[in-house]
Amino acid sequence: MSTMKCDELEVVGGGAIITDWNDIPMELLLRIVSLLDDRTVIIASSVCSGWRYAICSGLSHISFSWCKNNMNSLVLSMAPKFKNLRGLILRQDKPQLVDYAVETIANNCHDLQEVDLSKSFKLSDRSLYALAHGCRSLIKLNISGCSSFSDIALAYLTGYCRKLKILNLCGCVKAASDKALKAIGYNCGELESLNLGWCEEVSDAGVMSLAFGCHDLRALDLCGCVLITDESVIALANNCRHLRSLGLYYCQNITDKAMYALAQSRVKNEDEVWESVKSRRYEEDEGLMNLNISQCTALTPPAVQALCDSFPALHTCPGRHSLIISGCLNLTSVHCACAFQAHRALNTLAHHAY
Amino acid sequence: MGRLFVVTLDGSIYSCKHCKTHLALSDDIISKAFHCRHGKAYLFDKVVNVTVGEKEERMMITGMHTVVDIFCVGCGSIVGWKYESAHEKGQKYKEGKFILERFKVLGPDGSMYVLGQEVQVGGSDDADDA
Repeated sequence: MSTMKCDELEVVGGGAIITDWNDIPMELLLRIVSLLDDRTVIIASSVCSGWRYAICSGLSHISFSWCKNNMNSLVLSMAPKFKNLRGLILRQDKPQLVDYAVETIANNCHDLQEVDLSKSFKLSDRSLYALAHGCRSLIKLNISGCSSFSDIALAYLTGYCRKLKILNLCGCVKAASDKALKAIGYNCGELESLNLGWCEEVSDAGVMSLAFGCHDLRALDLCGCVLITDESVIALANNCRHLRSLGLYYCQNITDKAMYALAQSRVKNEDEVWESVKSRRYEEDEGLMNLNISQCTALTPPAVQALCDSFPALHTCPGRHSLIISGCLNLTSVHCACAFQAHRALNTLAHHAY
Repeated sequence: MGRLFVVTLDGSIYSCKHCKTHLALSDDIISKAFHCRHGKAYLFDKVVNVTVGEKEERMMITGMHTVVDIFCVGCGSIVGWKYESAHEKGQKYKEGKFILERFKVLGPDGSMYVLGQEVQVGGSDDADDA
């Protein structure tokens, strides 16, 4: 293998001559490796010691989701090598991952910032405790679908991983309880995005403590959280000034009161609004951009129209649909400003054509 | 009304016959022994992507029940009903559960249901298992 020679390359001015295939500089090798799929990256790291050193120290993100049968063995052999890993995706189609594998990761990869453990049905609280102790720099964590985690373990993790910005708890019914949300609100002040979809035990107490603690919250999904009432939305409107995306699908206790609270929070922001106008920033950058109130059948047109008027970034027009009112048959008259203008333009045209 | 919001399911899925919108998982089936005018019907614990109609009192083989019809959000076709309340104690287990008519849905393998000889069970809409 060492007798294989590639073309001689002479770099003018640099003075470096690459004569052999394994003389390639580390930065160049890493740029080439970044174009490969994950399985090939692992194979490349086994080619020779030079490549192993380069890839293992330079690799920042990798996914093992392509591994259908032996993910645990793969993790056990790779984790001690990739010590500088910052992002790891372990999402499984077929649940395989066990606690021991996650413990190995937590013991080796202390710089991990992004971890995706979605659909890991076999994991227990042991994994969360391991991550809490080993990966304190976690910024993005996805444990959606991990139905065995408990709220105590999740609360414990948030006590250690205080830099969390993006947390996905979709479907974690046991883990996402009001107790856990209180812990998140208390510990994770930098939280920006939280997905609580289908966490049916979440109630107003939890969301309110979240709103009081996480002032930077930008995206919150409460899809299927049927216990939520207007109190939660009012707390969010008053405390989370940077809220851009809110999902309330099937939250059937939501009434017009919540809509008016959201609309009025914009008005309370008046000083900030004038600042942005003065600095000529486009008003659409501020305020709610996405709202999903599908199946919230208690809402009436005047309230939702008031909301749509307060937040110019909410659209009902076909191109930029961001106010989703699927299943609310009485809200068909609600339109964003652009949809209304398009409607008027069509009408004037019709008058001219006989 | 605007853009449709549908929930996607994972697993063995029963979907609407006309528009293929996901409706329920076979894991959520409680009983397969129900009958309606168009043949078999299944009792589900949880159904998604449906919108409900008006409450009405309906007399069924097992007694008087308060039900709401459920409609697929994708195409609006009626796919079954939901038990809001049961008047008899023995039927209370059905409250809050959904019935999907087998004729209106595609099975997990995409199969349609062909009307058999059990059609026309009088005028009533459901029967119970033993």
